[in-house]
Amino acid sequence: MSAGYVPVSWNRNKWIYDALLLLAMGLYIWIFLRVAPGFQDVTRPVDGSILRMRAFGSLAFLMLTFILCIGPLARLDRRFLPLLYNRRHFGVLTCAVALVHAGHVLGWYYAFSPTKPLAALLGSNTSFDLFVGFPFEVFGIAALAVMVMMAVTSHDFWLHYFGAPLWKALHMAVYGAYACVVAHVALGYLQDTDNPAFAIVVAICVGVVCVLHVIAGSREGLRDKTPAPAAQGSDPYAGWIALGTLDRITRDLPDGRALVVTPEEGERIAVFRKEDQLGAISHACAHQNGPLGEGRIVFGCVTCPWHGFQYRLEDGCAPPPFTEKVPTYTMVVDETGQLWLDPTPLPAGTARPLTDLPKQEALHGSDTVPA
Amino acid sequence: MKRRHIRAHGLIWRVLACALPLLLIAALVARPGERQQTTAEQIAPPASGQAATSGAEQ
Repeated sequence: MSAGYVPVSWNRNKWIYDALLLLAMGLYIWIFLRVAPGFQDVTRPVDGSILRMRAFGSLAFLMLTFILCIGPLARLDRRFLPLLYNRRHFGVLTCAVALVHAGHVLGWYYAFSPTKPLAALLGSNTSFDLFVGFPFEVFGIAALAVMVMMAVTSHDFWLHYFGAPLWKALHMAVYGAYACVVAHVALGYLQDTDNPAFAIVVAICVGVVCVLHVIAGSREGLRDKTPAPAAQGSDPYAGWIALGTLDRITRDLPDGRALVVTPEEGERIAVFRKEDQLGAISHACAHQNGPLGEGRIVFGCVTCPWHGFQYRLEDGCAPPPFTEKVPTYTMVVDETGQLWLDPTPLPAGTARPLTDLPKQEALHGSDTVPA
Repeated sequence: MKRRHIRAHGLIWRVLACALPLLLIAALVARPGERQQTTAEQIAPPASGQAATSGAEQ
């Protein structure tokens, strides 16, 4: 989490995640190489190299499909959050599988070309004016280039080097890469096979990815369309957001959890309860804009549910030696017990007093935190 | 996530959710005519030394 380069910090969860992933990948390749020959057209025998090419190509497609499902699944259901934790390793492995696929293609089809294999690949079909017969290889090359770029820049060093906005923009290219992969498959292998099973699998994969993203996006968009109203007029809290009475918040908000507030303007705000105090910080993590308000307080710090980055509720700063900061917000309780939130962010890392909850509500202790 | 990212994601996926199925459908509809599909089950055991693949599309 520091600004300099640090090696990837392996821990037990990462080892288990990667081991399961590698096991599943090996199992898929093994099954594909043994099962696929039984379904092939025996009048058009397929060489072992082509089988391996198809095995790795289809595996890369399935892995990329699964990776793209993780984000919306985690937003729709917290139980999928552990998949998000090590998604970058998943992405790097997908890139490696795609490279093996590309290596088989070059090694098999273009090994004996008088020109260099890559030049032969790019020059062998120039029917760019056709739909069926379009040189689908260019889509695969484009997707592979994006995946390599993402794999190379996946380390946090590059996140700090580029800054979060540029890094996020670069990594959103994966959506374009997926579109290229679908075009690569649709204009490539789907044109070559009469077996409908593969077309059905591809259609299901594309459908699931699109539907999940559209549902998750619609849910988020709906929140934005119904922001918390700010007080109007000459009220001393004009422009502020009324969050309700302290009694109600104490009763409804479990210890260690947050209430996410969407203001009319600006970013969402996470109002956390830390034992018998409340504090508001930005909902967006400084690391990758993860939803801090969907995290919880662990060891006294707000912990991002995506990658575990932590911030002190008191000032929005990551605990030493880390340097990340998020904006904080001011809250005030008026004489009626109403809690007001100023939606104007304070500079990242600004300390401000937390709001004390009524003592009698301490009965709602930490044992009410859901799992 | 920041709100501009949410809006960008929403827009991108609405476009992709329209474009990708259309691409798949177009690719399947535009496929060349059905080829002769011959699976192992459809082939009778070769008789009198005739090769199973003789005369079939290579």
